Amino acid sequence: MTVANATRWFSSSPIISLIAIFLVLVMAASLISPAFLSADNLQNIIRNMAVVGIIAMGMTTVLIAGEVDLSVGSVMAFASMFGATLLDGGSSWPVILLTLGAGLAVGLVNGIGVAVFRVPSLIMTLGMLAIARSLGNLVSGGQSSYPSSLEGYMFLGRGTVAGIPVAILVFAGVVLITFYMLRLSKLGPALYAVGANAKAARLSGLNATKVKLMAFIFCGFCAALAGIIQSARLGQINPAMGQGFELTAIAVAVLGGASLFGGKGTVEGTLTAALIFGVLYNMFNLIGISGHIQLVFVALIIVVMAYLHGLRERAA
Amino acid sequence: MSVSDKAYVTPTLGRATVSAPWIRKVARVAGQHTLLIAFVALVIIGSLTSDYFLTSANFTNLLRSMAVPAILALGVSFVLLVSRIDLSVASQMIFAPVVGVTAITVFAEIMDYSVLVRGNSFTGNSMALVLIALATGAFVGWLNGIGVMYGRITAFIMTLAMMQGLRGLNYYITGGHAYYLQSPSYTWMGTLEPFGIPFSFIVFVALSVLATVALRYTLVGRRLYAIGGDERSAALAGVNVRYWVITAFIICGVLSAIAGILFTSRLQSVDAPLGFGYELNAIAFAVIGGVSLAGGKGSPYRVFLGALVITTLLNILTLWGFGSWFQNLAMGIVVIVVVAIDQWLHRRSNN
Repeated sequence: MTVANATRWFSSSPIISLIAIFLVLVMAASLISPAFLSADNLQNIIRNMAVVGIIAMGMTTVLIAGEVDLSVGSVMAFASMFGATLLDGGSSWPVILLTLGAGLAVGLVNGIGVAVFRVPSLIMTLGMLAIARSLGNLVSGGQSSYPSSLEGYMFLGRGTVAGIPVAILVFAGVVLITFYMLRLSKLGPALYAVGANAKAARLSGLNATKVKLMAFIFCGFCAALAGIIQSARLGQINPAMGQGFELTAIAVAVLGGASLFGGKGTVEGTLTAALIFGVLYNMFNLIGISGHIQLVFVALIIVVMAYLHGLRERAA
Repeated sequence: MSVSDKAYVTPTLGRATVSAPWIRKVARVAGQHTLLIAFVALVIIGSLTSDYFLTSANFTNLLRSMAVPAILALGVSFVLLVSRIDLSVASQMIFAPVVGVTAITVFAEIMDYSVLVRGNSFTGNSMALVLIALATGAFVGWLNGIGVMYGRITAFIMTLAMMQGLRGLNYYITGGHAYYLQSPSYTWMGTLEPFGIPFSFIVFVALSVLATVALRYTLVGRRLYAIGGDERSAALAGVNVRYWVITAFIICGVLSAIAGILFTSRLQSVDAPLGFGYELNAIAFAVIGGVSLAGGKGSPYRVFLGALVITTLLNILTLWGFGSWFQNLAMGIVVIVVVAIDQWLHRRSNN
């Protein structure tokens, strides 16, 4: 099988090839390490995957709309820290709601900057990356908070319902919401249209501003939600969390078929890509590859995927 | 439309709707010299609100804190000129000296002597370190250029991936601990201060002058501006776009390496988490100075102005007692606001 043939096969039916890659990885992993298929390990994979997967869903939505959100990692941290200011109250719901609200607010600001003021999303979210991280540090004084006494909060990250980790149920919920948004609601086709060609979309009567606003708000929400799950898993709300997550989120979305030029991307693609990443990371840990090399690997995946997408765009 | 949306950032004022001609004239002059006006305003505010502002010690501090990110910004401006962006400059800044130190250490071990004293204090040849770092910068820049031109990967994605990849490599290669670079043959670059002017700032000015001459009077400049102005036309006119864009990235890489050398010389150490977030400073200096994100507009002088204004602002914030978190906050806000205002003005002047 030549490289050209492989590329063509991949481009023509990305979801099937992704599922194939996933199955191959699972088989390879179980051969490499017997510990892979243990219940504990699988639960671990799933919990890890939930955090990245949730952010990736938000990122996919923004990418479909033709923009990018580099601030997701910082928003994770900021939203969590902001919510943590209510930790002393002793009850989970205010903390959770405030965290989600903070994520929505940042998403709104991002959306306004990009859609209303026409600031290029690269610059807007790069600036927001710094702003959110700084605000998170200021709000927390640079100190971690510990939510371990809040049962409801911790349940989101560590609990199980009928043996299934809650984190996965939350992720499944986000997947369903994203699916609804993209496939079943009127927002979906609007997102794709705006992403593919914003000018044409406007001329056809679509409110590109509102569409992009929704995309960014959803992405901010996802970042905050992921922040909650991550903090609950670790038992710690750390102002330094989320660094580098934007790259992983983009990598997952792009691997799943989202295009950096907008107008492309699917829920099932991102979902499968998240599964692949989850297994990959786990495999790395089992083999003993350091977390830093994993970052290098993510970078390589992005470069390769961007290259393949470029080929597909030009072939079309 | 997409992430590569071209957006002019050159400060211009749109058509004033007020009828009085002198107001329009003042507005036009103000628009052309916004940065200088901002700088003067900041100096006034600074001297009024802090006794420490106009001291020579503060002056030296300001120049020193400006130099390294300004050199990064100079590198980024070359890439911006050809309508691309380079997010990896901060990671490159650390990667270059890391490679230098590691290469010499490994070479020494092969030749059976040690350059590491007390575990992680580097005593190898400083000249070799500098040369290897520069070569590394050029190489990474070349890789970025290849990815963008031959792999046809959007610059922001290529350099974003490079940024994270290099960061991972930095941690991996250093094993997470710092190397101390305390030999005088290296640290002099960080301590030399003739007449209270830090050596790093002198290097920045020298590089800016060199860059200005190159861009204005040589083929490099003509080609880069041509590509930035209209890439298709340049290509049709026979310009080797690939070659020149890759060159821009290589220049950026070398400048990042120089920044890294000066940075680590001052800190007398090289450590993986250093320089985190400097890419925002670099882009901010360039963009606020007026280097256009769309390409084809800008000059080292503009980078200098942008660097001066922002660094003075941050200096005043420090004197007022606001720590680095506030400064990062301020910088993020300033970048967004400046780009937003300029976008708005540009749209108005087009209507």
